[in-house]
Amino acid sequence: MERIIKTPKLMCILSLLLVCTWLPRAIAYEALILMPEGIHFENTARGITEDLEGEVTFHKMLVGNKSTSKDISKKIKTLKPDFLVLMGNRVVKLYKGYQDANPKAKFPPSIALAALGLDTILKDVVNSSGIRYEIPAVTSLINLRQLMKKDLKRVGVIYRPWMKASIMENAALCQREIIELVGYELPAESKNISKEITKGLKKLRSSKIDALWVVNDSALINRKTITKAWLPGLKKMKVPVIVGVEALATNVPLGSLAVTPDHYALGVQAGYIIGDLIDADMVLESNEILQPLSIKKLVNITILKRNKISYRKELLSSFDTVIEK
Amino acid sequence: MRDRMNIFCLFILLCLAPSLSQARTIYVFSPLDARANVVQDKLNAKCSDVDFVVFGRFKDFEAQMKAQPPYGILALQPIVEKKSDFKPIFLGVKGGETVETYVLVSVDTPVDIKKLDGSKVGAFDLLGRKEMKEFISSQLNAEVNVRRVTKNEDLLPLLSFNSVESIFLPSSLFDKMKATTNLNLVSTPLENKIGLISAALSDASPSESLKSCISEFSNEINNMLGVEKWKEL
Repeated sequence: MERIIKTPKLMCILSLLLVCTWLPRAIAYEALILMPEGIHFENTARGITEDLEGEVTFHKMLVGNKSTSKDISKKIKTLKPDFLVLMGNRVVKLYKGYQDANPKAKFPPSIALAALGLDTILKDVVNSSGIRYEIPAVTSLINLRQLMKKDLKRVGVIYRPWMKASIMENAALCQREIIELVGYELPAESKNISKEITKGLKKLRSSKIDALWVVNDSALINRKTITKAWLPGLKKMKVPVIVGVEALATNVPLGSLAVTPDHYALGVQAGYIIGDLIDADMVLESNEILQPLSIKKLVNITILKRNKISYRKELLSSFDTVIEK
Repeated sequence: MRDRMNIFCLFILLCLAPSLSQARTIYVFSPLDARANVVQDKLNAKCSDVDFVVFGRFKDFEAQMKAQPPYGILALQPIVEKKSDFKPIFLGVKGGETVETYVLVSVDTPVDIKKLDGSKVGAFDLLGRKEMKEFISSQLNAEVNVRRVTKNEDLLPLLSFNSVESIFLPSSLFDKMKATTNLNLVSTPLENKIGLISAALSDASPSESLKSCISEFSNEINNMLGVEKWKEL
């Protein structure tokens, strides 16, 4: 008799335990965001966390210059997250270090964001996908084409050999929009890069380009090259210039249009991958690295006017920032 | 005695302040081509007795709705319908109708609307992740994966980068989108119609000045909000 009474009690306790262990998973997955400090990373994290509020519990770990792969390892082992979000180049590098140091571990899916050259740095990271940080030329050029009163047929770009694959990919995307990306490849090694850029600009000028796309490469764009090559060279070339850093269209009179990532929207876009992960019960179905969708746009009207480039005033309301002094 | 009176008046003012400020705010959330701050400036320049706050993102709109409920909202009808505390007083009108048709936009080949199950569809985020999936799926009579964007202009990149098979768009915006790209965009008409932007208030009897302000929005403002004029209910 006693046994009969005890069994339902035991069943109740077991059921309760089962419910308790099942309940948190039904409410939310656990995720770890590894990110450096900084407003852009914060905005990206906000985009992700707000979008998935109630479905995922996010834990953040700030990764600084002194952080190591061991710190990451310790956090992952304590938290046991269902998936990870990796932000910034250093974080991806340290996470790769963690994977290399634990070859037998089972790695949860990870999504890498806000890091340059993801195709290269994420290649050997297991169970990972991501969104590129670099804005494709075609996104910027469609916006420029809308703003300008003239069609864009040929757009020049100066690049170093290591960027060739990316330039080719951008050229293919531009081709779908009937825009020809006219590339000028600099020599692999040069003692005077400013001189090479000047040569490149001269060559592009003779190619009758309608606009110039300046890629984010610190060897190409720095104080020395700007003053010695870009600004003098562009004086002779009255075409709109697209840059990927706002300061190059505000502090420096170089870019007429600055196109940069919309960090909040980048987070929302990461939410697509996470949403798919949730639907597939944490199985990453593709390792594809996606193109970023959303941008912040700045236009410097003063530079456009100085170069006598006409534009559609009615479209200025679609720009995040309009500079007119 | 005068001091006491002053203190009493101050107390009454302090008590009324929150309700007064609440009574004067109208939140605006709708897919816009212009940036939110530009639309907000235009609206506030037009109407002096209310403050318009324009939201570009659903999450910001929703958070503020909870934190500080407004006096009224200007939003597409699917959003207004979910806010039972607000009673519509004006419906936006375009082409003589208060509703509009939608299309599915794709590249090169029209979409087969009978084979949409499991396909990826892009749309402006009106309702958040879960509710947008339900909303779009119900509009298309299919279980689809919805890719939401926070700006209208981000819909085209979804197609350009093959992130979706089609995008859900008001038919009136199709030509505009087509004009921005050299991709061969094609549209597949849908039967359902969705209500245009409407104005809804928490107060059943709004002031005449507010009513005239909304009904007399300039063409520029109406164009930004995607309507031609307003119909009072």
